[in-house]
Amino acid sequence: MKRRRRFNIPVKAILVACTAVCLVLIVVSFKYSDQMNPVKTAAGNVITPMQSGINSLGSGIYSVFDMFRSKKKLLDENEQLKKELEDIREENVSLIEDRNELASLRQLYKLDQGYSQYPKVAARVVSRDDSNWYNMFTIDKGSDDGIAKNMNVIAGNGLVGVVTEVGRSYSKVRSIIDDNSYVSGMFLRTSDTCDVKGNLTTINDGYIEAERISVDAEIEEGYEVVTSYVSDRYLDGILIGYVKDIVTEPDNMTMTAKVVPVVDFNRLDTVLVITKLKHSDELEEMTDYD
Amino acid sequence: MIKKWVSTILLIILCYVLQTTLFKHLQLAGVVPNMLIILTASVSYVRGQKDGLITGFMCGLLSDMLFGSVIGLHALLYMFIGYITGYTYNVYLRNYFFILLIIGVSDLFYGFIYYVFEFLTRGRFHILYYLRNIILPETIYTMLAAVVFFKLFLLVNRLVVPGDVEEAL
Repeated sequence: MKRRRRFNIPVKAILVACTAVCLVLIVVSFKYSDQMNPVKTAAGNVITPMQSGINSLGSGIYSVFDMFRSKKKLLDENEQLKKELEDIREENVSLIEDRNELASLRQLYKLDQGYSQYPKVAARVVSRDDSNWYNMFTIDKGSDDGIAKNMNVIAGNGLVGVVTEVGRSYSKVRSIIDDNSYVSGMFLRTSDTCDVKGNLTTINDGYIEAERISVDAEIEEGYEVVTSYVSDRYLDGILIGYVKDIVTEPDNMTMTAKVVPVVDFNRLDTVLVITKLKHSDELEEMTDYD
Repeated sequence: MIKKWVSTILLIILCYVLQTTLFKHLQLAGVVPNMLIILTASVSYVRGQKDGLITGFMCGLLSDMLFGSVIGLHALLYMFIGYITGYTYNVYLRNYFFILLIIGVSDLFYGFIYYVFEFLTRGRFHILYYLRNIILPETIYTMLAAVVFFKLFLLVNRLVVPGDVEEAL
């Protein structure tokens, strides 16, 4: 038997009331997305430290298991590595020479004003988004560490994504493989532009799409795609990936191609945030159209 | 009453945090189980429509505030899932497979509506692809996770709402 309580509001009334609240929220957040940000940030500031804690707990447990499993293996490996170290010391000398050569070659490749000089902040990936539909994630650095919206995020030597939301000690990053992501790119060797779009259906096969390449572009498989000068959010010259399977569209006006990203998005645990914004003053006005 | 809702809110936060952190390490076929659906459907099944829809509303709101672009969409969706699954509270059939079936159908429904609102509206028409690669794996994994989680939920529920247990299973 159901117990009767003193305040017994009918279920339908609650349903109608909550539906109304939802509809109002949807309309409000559509129209005034900027004003709703403090609400989101407040919720993020509460939840993110918990995620951070659970995450380190999780990796702690993993490392304990790992330790037992691999102690014996490590001893053998140690012997082997000592031998290898000798070889590598010799190799290192010749590599230093190579590095000097590389530095001069980079200048030819227009990469000298690239991202190696930008100020960067390292951050750890704390959590992924809650659905299986998007590719967004949270990192453990926020406005306290000098991170702002629209900053570029890289890992290794390739573009990961862009900061879309900033809290005090966390930020959200949308990766370039996200279905909503759009980056204006450029072929490094020929300076032909293209639009690089994330796509949920193709990333499982390991690539994203490049569209609207001019038919006149003299590109070949394996060419590097970098962020373009005309991009309003991405600093130029950051490596996105390598192009393959170039196809001319039926209308004979443009070409499309596949881009294989250089970053391994399945194994992303630390990223670098470039703390320099592109045209920071112009961006202020542009955020309204975001 | 207060004890019941405080425990429910704690459960929501726990589910959300687990879903976004620990389960990302335990991905199967590239998907994670939807813990919030499990919680909403479980509450509805065990405590009825009113509790179910309020829990769904709170789950959705949390999800909206942390990762949604439009606040309210998930809240509305989860709330209706809670309300509709709440009809099973009056069904006499009470066994373990039935609740798993309810959770599975709820997740299928969630996946489909989500696809329609967020992907179909942007002109992504390959519904079969999304069904095979995201919606169905997520449903199966969610049902697997529910096998364990529903037991845990019953334990918590027994502590905070002693009277309802005999009706539950």
